[in-house]
Amino acid sequence: MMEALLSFFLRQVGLRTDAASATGSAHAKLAYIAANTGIKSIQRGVINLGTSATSATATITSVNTSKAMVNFLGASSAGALGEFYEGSNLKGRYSKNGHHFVRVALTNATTVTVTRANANDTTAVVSYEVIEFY
Amino acid sequence: MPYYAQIDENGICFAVTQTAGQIDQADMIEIETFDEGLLGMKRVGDTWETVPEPEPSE
Repeated sequence: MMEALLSFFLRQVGLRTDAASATGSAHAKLAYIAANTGIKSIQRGVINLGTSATSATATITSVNTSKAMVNFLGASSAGALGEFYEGSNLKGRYSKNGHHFVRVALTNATTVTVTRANANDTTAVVSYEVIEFY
Repeated sequence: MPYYAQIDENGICFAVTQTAGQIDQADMIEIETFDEGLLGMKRVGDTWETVPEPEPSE
């Protein structure tokens, strides 16, 4: 009786050398969890929006979009000035905006898209990372 | 993990990416480091050339 019970428990616990398995012994399940938990991949990049561009896309290695997220890491862009005239007389200058404010999206499994409302003849460099989980 | 510079139809680099694996695509040029300085540069043969910035239009 005791031997049968001991044998049963040993089978359930398994050996440290058991291959990872979602349905195997406790050791196999632990190995499976350890190998399939947490971050699977991180991809990082920068995308340049040209002087007339309001959107641009970059290609990444394929990810599972239901298990991936994109982080916006910031954007840099120079200022842009507009001028207004009365006839041919320069009456003043104003600061243009809209080209600084960008959005980042994981469009599909292999594409990151950045967009902005206005280009304002000004480039912007957008930094991002895509993190995929198991 | 490999690094790529991605170019547009004119050969201008508009993206630099550190990917999780190899990408075999004509517009993805494999580079040695994450070199943001390539943004805006033009791929000519096996080299990168600086492109003069266009005059802003008002």
